[in-house]
Amino acid sequence: MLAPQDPHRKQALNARAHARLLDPSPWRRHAPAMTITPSRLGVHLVAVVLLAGVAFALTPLPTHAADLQTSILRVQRNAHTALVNIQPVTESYTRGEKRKRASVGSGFLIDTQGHIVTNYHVAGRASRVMVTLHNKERVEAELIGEDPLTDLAVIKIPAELVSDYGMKPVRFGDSDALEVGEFVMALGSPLALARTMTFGVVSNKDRYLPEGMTLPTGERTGDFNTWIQTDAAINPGNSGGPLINLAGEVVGVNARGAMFADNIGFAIPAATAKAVAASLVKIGEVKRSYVGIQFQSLQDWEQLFGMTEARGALIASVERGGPAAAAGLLPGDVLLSYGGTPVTARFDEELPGVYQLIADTPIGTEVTLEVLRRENTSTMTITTVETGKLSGDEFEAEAWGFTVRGITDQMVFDRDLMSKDGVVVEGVRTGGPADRGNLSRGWVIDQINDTPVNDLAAFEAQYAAAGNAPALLRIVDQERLRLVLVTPGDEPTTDGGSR
Amino acid sequence: MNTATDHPTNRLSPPRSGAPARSALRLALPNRLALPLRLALPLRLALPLRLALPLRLPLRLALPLLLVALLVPGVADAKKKRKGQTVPQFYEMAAPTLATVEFNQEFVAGGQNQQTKSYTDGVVISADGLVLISGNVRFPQRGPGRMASGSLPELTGFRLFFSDGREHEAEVVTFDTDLNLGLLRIVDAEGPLPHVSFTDDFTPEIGTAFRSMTLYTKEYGREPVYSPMSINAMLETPQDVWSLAGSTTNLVGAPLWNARGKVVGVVAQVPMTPGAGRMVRPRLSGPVGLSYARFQAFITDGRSAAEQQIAAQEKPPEDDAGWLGIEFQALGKPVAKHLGISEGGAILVTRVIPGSPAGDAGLAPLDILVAIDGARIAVNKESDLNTFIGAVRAQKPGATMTFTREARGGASTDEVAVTLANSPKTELHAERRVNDAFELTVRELTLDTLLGQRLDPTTTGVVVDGVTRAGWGGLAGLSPGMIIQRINEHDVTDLDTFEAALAKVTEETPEKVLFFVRFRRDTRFFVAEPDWDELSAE
Repeated sequence: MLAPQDPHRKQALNARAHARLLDPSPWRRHAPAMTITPSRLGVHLVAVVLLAGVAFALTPLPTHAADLQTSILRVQRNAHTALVNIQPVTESYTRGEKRKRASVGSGFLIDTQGHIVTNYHVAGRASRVMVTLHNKERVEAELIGEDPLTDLAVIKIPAELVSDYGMKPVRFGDSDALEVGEFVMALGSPLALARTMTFGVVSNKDRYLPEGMTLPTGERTGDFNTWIQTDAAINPGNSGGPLINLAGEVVGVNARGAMFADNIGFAIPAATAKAVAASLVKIGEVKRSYVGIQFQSLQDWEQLFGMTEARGALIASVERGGPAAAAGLLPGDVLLSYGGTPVTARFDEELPGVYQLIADTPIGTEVTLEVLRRENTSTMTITTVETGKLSGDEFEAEAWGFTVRGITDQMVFDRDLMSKDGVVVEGVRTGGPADRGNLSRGWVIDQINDTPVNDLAAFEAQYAAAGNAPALLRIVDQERLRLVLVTPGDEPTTDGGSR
Repeated sequence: MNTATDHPTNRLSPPRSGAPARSALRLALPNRLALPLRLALPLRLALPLRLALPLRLPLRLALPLLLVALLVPGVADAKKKRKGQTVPQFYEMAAPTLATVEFNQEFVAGGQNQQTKSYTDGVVISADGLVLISGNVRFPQRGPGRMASGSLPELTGFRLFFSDGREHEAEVVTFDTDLNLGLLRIVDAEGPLPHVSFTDDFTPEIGTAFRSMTLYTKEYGREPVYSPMSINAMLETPQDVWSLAGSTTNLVGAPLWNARGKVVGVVAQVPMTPGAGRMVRPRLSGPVGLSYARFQAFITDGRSAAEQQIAAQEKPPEDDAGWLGIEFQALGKPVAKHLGISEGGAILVTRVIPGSPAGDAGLAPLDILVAIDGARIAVNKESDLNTFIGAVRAQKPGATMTFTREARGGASTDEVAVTLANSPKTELHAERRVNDAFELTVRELTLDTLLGQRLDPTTTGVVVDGVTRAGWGGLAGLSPGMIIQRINEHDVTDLDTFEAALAKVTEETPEKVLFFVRFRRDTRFFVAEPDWDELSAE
């Protein structure tokens, strides 16, 4: 630390600016084994609330410890009224019946209307959301919108309470301008201990976590952002809370912690959170385009694909039946520009940006692509489709002893289903009629009593119509067809129910 | 629910097909409760008098001893005037026929080349040196009886060690994948060898006692170990086998002798579902007894194979069971009743493999089959399926099975004749090639892998079978299960094109080698950067 009048201060500031220019964009091979990330074990979504670090570039550097302390206290005093502790009750259908689950997370107020940002894995699909404010008052909140792809959600408390209780919203900062080493604070409720602040630095500002992460509820997530890694303590309960810089701006939303590690936590950058929150407030969802392409980083392989310089995004895989397949794109093609915007992904950390560019396209747009295939550049057009909901709604067929979920277009891709027709079995209640009939999770029901069931509404109607009579379900199990008889209220048979 | 199929589906890890079928204990059938006298009494009575006496008794002692004879199994046979063996006699007869078979396995597991030494029990079954062993030797092992996951092992260095100090070398003759048994042939015999004799004149029942033997390890001087066992249950599923009291995995491969010194069975671990033995790592039962009647044909065939001097094969011969090409489940009584199907059992076809005999004959998913060649398919629940599958697999390619298909409501039936084809090759029998430069083993793409990864039937390529993690292939990111479809500019459709592509690459020594692979429905590129100088120096 330097004293304000220190003659070396200017030099140090220049050195730092110089260092920023020189900082090469860190590149690594595929992120280290994510077996440690709770996400692989389905537990990762530890919401950690990081207290905000203050924006470094815009404020004077604290010149000694007392100044740093002052800055931290200033942030805390300004931001603490925005912090909420969230206790959602979510319904889970995976055990074949509707079960409620209570959990704890965090969130922060972003406007005076009462909108609070948190994680999808905290408040998404919640049937009831209670929040505890900074003054320990408890309030019921309303779920406004959710976005599993970025693991974000927005809830809302009445606007009057914001003013009544003297809550001051926090504003988003510029996560792109973050530097490794900046001080940040995490605010939240680790282990349900509300109103906790922890302190650390930005350990890495564009950490790439591998594609294919899934939320505990099964949805794909994490395609569109890299992560801010911090050593401010992040624990279960911090999810959804803000990561704040010394300027009092939210630079991230704490969402992940690494298991079996100390001081390794991850936050969703403010750039992503701000855009998603705005859309959730406005229309309750985020609309994205989808083309069905999986990219991989080009590394230094440009010559293998007929280029002399490394540019473009390498297409690794083309989804069967998606818009890219329809347009004739093939694995090995290199996407040079998308809708006129040049595209490059040499390193994994650049991939989310490419996916974001595609997702931001208005749905149904005809986009011109510049594609390189075996040293020949050509122009192709592709029409985007809607990403749509990652997962359909659920329903409990209580008398039959199982739960189902409606099938969305994305589910057909994610779960590799045969088609969108029918409903997928989410869970089978042990010992219930469906269990005795040997129904399995993951199977698709496309007929009940010889009547087609195309969607969840049709299923619910058939279920109601069947009453107490035995129901014959036609099952699509990948490439197989099966029949399952469900007899409500059946006593276990002694002639050897097949088990 | 059990997905029954007459062809295994090879995913990366063995498929989970739901809860294993329960066995139907034969105790429920009255005719198995014969001889209450035997069952009511403890099997062994402590009669020091009895043990102290030699076998030949003066007649005046015979009468009271006849009573004793009723109580002690083995000697009970004496009352039928058949000659039995004492345990010491048995011991002396059996010991020279048994050997510890040591062998080497080389396979890839955990991204590393494993070379393991393992051993199993072997019994000499002919004077010219045929040896019966467990088929477990084919599966990757980390020490005897400890199965590992890994690629298909290469087997070498079979050596037999007898308790009397004799040592012999042996070669593989053949394996039976359904019974999980193997045959070796001693190659350096200098004269006739002590061997066992079999008999199929044998009626097993609950409580039947066997004598058996294994050898202690070298550290214990390879001393023969008397290992009595007895039948404590007769199982129909997964196969007709005997559950044995007193058996352990150490005894797998040990013969089962009757009291007269004839071998009536062997201790084995059998595949839990028919046909599963055609996988590299099938799910196996615990140690159970296989009756001689069940493997008699295997020995006969093996004997002729050895006699024709078929060269010892490193991989087992092709599966010669007939193939239908369907997946099916038990229809089950409740569903059958609901659909109005006639009583007696039925199976529901769940899938027809395109291009298979079933497909050609016009069978379709959701067909209900009730009879084969006029005989009712007595499958009422899932645990009945194995019997049915076994019956199908007993048919040879070219045989025709006529199925009776019943329509819902039982209104009409029709007959569908299916001519069985050869069982398609599985991963177990797939040809493999090794590439040392990239420390990679690949195998041909077989139907079970196509089905397991749900690939388009037109998919071509070779499957990565094993790769050492720190070799050039492993460092590039290749891993087992991936299907290599292109290397640099060379398309790879089969093993020959794979080798040709790599030969070209090795000749050109490019800085980077690009692999295009498919895995399930995704494709991806991997790049290897081998150190050609280092490789050419080797």
